[in-house]
Amino acid sequence: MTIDTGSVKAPRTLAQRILGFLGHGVVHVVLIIVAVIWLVPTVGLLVSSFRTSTDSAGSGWWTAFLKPAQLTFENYASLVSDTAALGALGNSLLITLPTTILVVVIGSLAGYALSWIEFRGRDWVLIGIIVLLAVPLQVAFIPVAGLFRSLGIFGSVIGVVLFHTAFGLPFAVFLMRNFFGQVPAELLEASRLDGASEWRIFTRVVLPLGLPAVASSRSSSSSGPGTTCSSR
Amino acid sequence: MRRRGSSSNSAGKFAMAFLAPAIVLLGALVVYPIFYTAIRSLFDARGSFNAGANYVDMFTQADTLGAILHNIIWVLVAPIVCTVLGLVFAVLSERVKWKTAFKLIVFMPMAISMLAAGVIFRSVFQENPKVGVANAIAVTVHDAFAPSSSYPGAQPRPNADIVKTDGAVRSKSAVQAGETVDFPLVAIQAGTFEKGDPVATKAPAAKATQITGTVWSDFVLGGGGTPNQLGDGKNSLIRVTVEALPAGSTKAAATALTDDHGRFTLSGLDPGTSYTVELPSSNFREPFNGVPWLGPQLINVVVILSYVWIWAGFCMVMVGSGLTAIDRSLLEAARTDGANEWQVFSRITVPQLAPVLVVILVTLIINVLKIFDLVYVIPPGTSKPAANVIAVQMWNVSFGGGNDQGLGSALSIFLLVLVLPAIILNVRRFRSQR
Repeated sequence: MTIDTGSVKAPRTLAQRILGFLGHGVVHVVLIIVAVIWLVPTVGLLVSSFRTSTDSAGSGWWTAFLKPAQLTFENYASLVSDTAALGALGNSLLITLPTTILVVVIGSLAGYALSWIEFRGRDWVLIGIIVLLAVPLQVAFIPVAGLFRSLGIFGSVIGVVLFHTAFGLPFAVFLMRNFFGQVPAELLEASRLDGASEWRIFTRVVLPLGLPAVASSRSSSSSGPGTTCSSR
Repeated sequence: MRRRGSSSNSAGKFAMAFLAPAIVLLGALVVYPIFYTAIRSLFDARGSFNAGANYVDMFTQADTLGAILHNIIWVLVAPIVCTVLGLVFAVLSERVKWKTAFKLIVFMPMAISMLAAGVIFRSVFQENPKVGVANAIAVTVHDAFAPSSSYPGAQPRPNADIVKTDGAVRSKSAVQAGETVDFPLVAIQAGTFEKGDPVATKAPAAKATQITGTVWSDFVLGGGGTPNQLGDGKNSLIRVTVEALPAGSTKAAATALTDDHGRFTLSGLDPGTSYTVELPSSNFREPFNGVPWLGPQLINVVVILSYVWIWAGFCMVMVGSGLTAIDRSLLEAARTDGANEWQVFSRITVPQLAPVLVVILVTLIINVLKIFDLVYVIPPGTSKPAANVIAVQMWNVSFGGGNDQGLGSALSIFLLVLVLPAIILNVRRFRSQR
């Protein structure tokens, strides 16, 4: 049967078929090697998390495959009972959650204004946002540290949240403006003719239509704040 | 430009209300700091005006200059490597059924924080081949091609008629066929011999075309024994390569291995010629312990590799979304016209993707200029200066001990200047889209 389909489907010569198979095979092999290389560091970390620190210091994580008896939940047990680690986890949530909410709310407000409200200087505000997109975080370290110190929020969760919200905003505003811009104009015109206020249009028309896209954009970058705040 | 919406008088008020939170935050925490930092960069550590001396320092001090140079390496290497890999991965993965799984695997590091990625890569590139996976592989591969020797670092007994040059131990005086040459060696690594290991014995008398001899460890554990003499339970060195080199030649006339009792017999020699008997350096080579990845020479390679590990997935996904938008009929037409896959890729796919590739490159260049986390985490203390970049140096100078906020401000303004071309490019692209 296989011979049948082969002879019907492939009007190529045997040599061409072998070459085609080999070419395809090479692609497979290359991609498998790449995938393994990309997986090894993470797998190593995962396996290490199930080994004791003495094991990890003395031998590589791959030895665990030969001696599965090494594997233990010890690290996770001590993590759960360690108040400092739990506190850090709590802090991560305390920072990430408000930052995400603030960025989405403030960013979508501004994004709506920039895509649907006609006002003088709109393009300039947008250009300003694009300029700020590329500003390095480092520029703000010294003055913001001073500012937060005088406000008494230096080193506090509020300070970190505000800082990350500010530096997350340019991208969020830009993104929301593009998403909201894709909402059909007729819907807005109709609402305006019906006498709806800008706030009503924003909350009842644009936000519901644009939100799924907003949510997906945030979830994919939710590692962002956690990533940077821990080191800064 | 799309013109719509109410242009009534109230529009401006509404716009302000919607924009106010963003403008207040951006103004207070981004725009104001830029100006503050720009002005601060003209003052010294204690706050007195020094008119650009910080900028002179920046380009004359060795450590800041080094940081700037490393940033240049980063910008030249990392974005290109990431983009090329992303392009290759995206195009190749289109041709396999498990492309979603592949993309997931390569994109996954994007979901890991830079800090954790730093920790991961520091362990991958640990120098100890028993712990670091990179060196474990390097040592395995190396030993497969060049097995490590059994007796690294062995030295000739000083008063014996043998000498060590270029890592090889050879007889000092010329040897004729029919003679016997002994090799008493010392400084064999502790733990090489165990109790009950074979003992060296005297080699049999050589025939007219032979040279014989014994190779042994001229040291008795716990003392005793006569130097240069066999006996007293001295251990033999087994499977050591022995060569007979005709005088003035480097090509062996005969080769032999020592047996369990350290004895060797070189045969087939010419009775009239003088030879040098040599134990080649391969017997005494130090074992290969892996590459010092985290050392100053290679640290930048390692940190850039870890960056590529994280960001190649981003590039791949961006290129992938670009691929879905390109005109498939062109590819088909080219294939029908007899173009091979490489021609299709280089003449049609890549040119069509050019706008996407530019966006990726600009994004990555901005990102790389600001690189901080990986460089802060991966290099161990001794390699930190070799890996330093502007963002880390700025941090060190202003907070991490330096406490010179003037120089720190100057560094961050320099960073801003470096990002300017990318900003201008972005604004131009934005305006041309209108």
